[in-house]
Amino acid sequence: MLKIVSLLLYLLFLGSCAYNEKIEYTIVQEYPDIFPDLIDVTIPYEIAPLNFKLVNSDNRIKVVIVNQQSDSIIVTGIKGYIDIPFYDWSSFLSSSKGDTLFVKVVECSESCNKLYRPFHMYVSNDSIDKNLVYRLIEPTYAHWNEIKIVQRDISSFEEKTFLSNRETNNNCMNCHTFNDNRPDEFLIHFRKNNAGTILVRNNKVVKLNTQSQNTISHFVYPCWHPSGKIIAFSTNLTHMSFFANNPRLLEVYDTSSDIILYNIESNEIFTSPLIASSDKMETFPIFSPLGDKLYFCICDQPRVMPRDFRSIRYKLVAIDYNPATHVLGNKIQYVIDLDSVGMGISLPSISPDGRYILCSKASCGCFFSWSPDSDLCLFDLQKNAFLDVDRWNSDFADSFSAWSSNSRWVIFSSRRIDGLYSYPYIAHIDSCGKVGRPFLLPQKDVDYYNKTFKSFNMPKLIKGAIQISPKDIYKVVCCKEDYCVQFDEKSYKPVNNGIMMEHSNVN
Amino acid sequence: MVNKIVLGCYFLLATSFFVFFSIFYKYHLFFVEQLSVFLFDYDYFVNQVNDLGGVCIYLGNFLIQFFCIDYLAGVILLFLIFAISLLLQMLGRTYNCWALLPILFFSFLIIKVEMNLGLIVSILLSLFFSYIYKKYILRKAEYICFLFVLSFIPILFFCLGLSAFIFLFFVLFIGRKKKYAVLMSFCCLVETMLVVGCICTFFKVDFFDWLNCSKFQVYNLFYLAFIYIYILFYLIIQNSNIFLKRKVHWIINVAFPLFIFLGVGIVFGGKINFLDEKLYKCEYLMRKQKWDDLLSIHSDQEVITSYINIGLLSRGNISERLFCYPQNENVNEFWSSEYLPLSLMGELYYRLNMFGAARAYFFMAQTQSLRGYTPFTLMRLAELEYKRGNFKSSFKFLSVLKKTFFYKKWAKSFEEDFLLNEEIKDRYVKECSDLFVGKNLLENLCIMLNTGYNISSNKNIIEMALVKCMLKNNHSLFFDILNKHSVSLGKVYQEYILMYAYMKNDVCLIDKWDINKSIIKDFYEYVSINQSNVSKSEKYSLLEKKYKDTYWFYSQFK
Repeated sequence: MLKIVSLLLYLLFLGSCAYNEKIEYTIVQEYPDIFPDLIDVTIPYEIAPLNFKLVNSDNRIKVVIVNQQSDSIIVTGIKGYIDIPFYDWSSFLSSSKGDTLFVKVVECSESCNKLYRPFHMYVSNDSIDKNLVYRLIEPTYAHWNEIKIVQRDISSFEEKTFLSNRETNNNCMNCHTFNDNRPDEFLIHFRKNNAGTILVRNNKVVKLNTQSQNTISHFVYPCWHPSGKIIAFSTNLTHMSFFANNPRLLEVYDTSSDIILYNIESNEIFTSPLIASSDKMETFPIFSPLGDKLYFCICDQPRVMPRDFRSIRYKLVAIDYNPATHVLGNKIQYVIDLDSVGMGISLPSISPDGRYILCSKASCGCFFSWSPDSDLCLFDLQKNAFLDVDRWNSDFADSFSAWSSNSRWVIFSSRRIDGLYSYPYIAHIDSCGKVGRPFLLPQKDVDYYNKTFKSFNMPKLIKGAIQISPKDIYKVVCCKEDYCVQFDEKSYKPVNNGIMMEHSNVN
Repeated sequence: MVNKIVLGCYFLLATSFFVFFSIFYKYHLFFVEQLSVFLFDYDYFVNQVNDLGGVCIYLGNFLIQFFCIDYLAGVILLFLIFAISLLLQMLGRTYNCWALLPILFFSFLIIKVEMNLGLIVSILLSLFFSYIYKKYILRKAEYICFLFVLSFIPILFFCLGLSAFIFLFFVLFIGRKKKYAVLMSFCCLVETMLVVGCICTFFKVDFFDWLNCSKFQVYNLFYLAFIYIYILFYLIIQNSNIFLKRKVHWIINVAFPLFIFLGVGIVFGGKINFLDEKLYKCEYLMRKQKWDDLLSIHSDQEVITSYINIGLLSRGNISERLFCYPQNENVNEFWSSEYLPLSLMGELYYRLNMFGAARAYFFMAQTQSLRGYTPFTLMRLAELEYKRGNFKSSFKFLSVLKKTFFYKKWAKSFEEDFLLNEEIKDRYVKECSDLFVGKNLLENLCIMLNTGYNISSNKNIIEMALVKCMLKNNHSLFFDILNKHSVSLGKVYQEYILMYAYMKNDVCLIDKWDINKSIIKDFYEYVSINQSNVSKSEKYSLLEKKYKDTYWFYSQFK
């Protein structure tokens, strides 16, 4: 049916163009070579205009976007660039919910006018959280210059710097993590100068000193418990090494890691030998949406790193957790183990409806952001099976992912554009688990990604704009007073052999 | 008479400034150009101009791009600073040396490597507009002056930032019209408040942040205030009768130039870091590939020696002249958070064809540069990414270079010569290993030597490995490399082997490696001096006289 409608509209378009402009077209059977790739993508109806350019074209182009009710937008551009008017696009998309858009591209040159094969875009009925928060940083995190945590309204091109390390003595800021995609409850780590973890709850800011005698490092990768009262953190001895001669640039790896749970109200931390053992490395904790399970990645302690990095393969496991008593279960269950196929699992994220776990898989390593063979894999917890997400993956590293609050959209980082810098891609998954082709976060300037020298790190969708003033955070960060976290006296205390790392350079 | 003194002072100061900037300080200014990349690009323009006073920053950066040409930096700085001084003279009623004082102030700004010409350009433009107003507008009808000033204020505040107050001050207090003076002052002040208010609201900047003029990178508000207040007072005094027909005027004009000379000397003498300046010089000579000049530098500093070793490698005589320079075992090994050492390491690995390591260091160097990239790191990364087969990212770096004025040509020719050449496209590095770059250069070199890398394409790796073995006294690795790879034995290697043979009492080594007879003769002479019954200091001076460039002297007295 779609093909028939598409053909009819195509012919209609041909006829209308020929009638209006009396121009002859050469019909090209190939899809237009456009950047960013928008062919067959699934988009939310709130998304900003998807501007694009015809690669290697200096000609005038004309684009007609038609929906199934025959509403259309016609945009012309020069030098191969298309800049779609914001208001036309917004109203067009809102009237095209659940619809298929047909995009026809005509390249007009003096010698001939080429009409490329039309392509489709699917407008989903599912809404998406309008705000996106990410960190802008140079791609090799061993050293940094300006670091910004930025919030972007994805329904427009409005981007605001939320935090800049220029205001906090050029320190490192990382691991911004929100509770249940809420903009008023989140945490951020500050490293090196004015070090501490900034915890924001109901727009009130507290600075935590997360150093403890029984932990191997300050708190690192966090995950909020749905109750908002507990946060699971990993503590990691993280290192970074550059390859001497390898297609990979660098390897980020742990030599030791544990997981601890932080009780916000009592300011105490507790753990269990099952999540903080000395012969295993546990990292990347995530709570199930009901709060009754803690998922995390686990692997055997390596002998010599980085020499043995090829042997590092994490598995995804789960442990029961009782939020009322704060007691962890007495056994761990393996959820995803790809060791038999020579793969490891890392950077998991769970859908808020609790049905899917999205994680990265690669042949080895811990932090897959720099592994070119890193791909996303989607695990259905109900069916206990993987879903096919090949459409989301590329030949380059596809890694860090986060979910929208309605579990219908995923945002992930990919280095597919140039192999060096990670940029955010948004992908759709419907209620049946069918996934759409992802699209690059749109920018007003199509060449933005080719010009920037910053990676988009840890993109996270949130339900609204962050309201708290950055000045309130700067004030607390620069303040010397902080709350020192304490180990719960009754809790198991991991053995750290006197190692304590200022976790600052990496993640 | 006074005018002649002033003229003389100008001439003297200008000449000494030019000589200083063009000859002694050109390396520093070359480095400044590297840190400030000017792009002929709409986005760059909008990004710069979008801030208050950004037009002046943009113009300043435009001028800084010419600092890469020898002598031009001196001419530009001379023009900017002396133009301010001349405009001050022209805005006053009399000529005197007080207008030279800003030269002293601005020398504080120029001395910093992260300098920005924004403030200097903004003050210059403000004085220039004041002069235009005095010369051409003030003669017109009163309403024209009135309209001119009112219409000009918003533009000036946007373009010049805080420096627009100089123009406003001049118009209201010095070059004012009598008839509408009160009305004009009132309107101007109201408009100024509105403009500042609108700017702060529109650009969402804090008024005090704006006052601080952070974009001009004048870090000290007191210093900024001092410059403005001085200029304003100068304009008031020079347009009043205070100094006219007074003897003090004469005396001041004679004593003042001395003070300026002294002040500028103190500023430069006290603030200049001579090690940094030497580093900038080495960087300049390495970039311009002036190896002979680079090899004429002597310093005990490791980082300087590291530059020299790159020069020796490039000249192909590291095995002959290594110990002509003070060496130590840590040379060419840096893991720093500063741009220069990181870029230096990147360059060494680049010249050793160790592209993975070079890329890692250049990436880190780029991160540590002022603007997030420099033309040099972009050029190297474009080459490295290309050689590694990552053409897309190579294009990304090239696309930035193509927007510059002085590096555009290189970028285009690189693109034409290499990227369009299909044969060369296949030549990228295919060797691959799981080994990592360490801080230890020797270990990194061994990685390359042991992973079957095509050494014949770059003998420098073997040379550098042998050098590091000598400096680190790693005999076994030294002979292992010599046994595995055919190397022509330079003077310093022969000295090393001879010393080792002597220590081990193994004469076979001398025959095996065919040590030059003159070197053997020198060595025996060296040993005999060492064994003679002379005092330690006398022995040292005797050995130093003839053998200070040998491995033997290095190993004995390092």
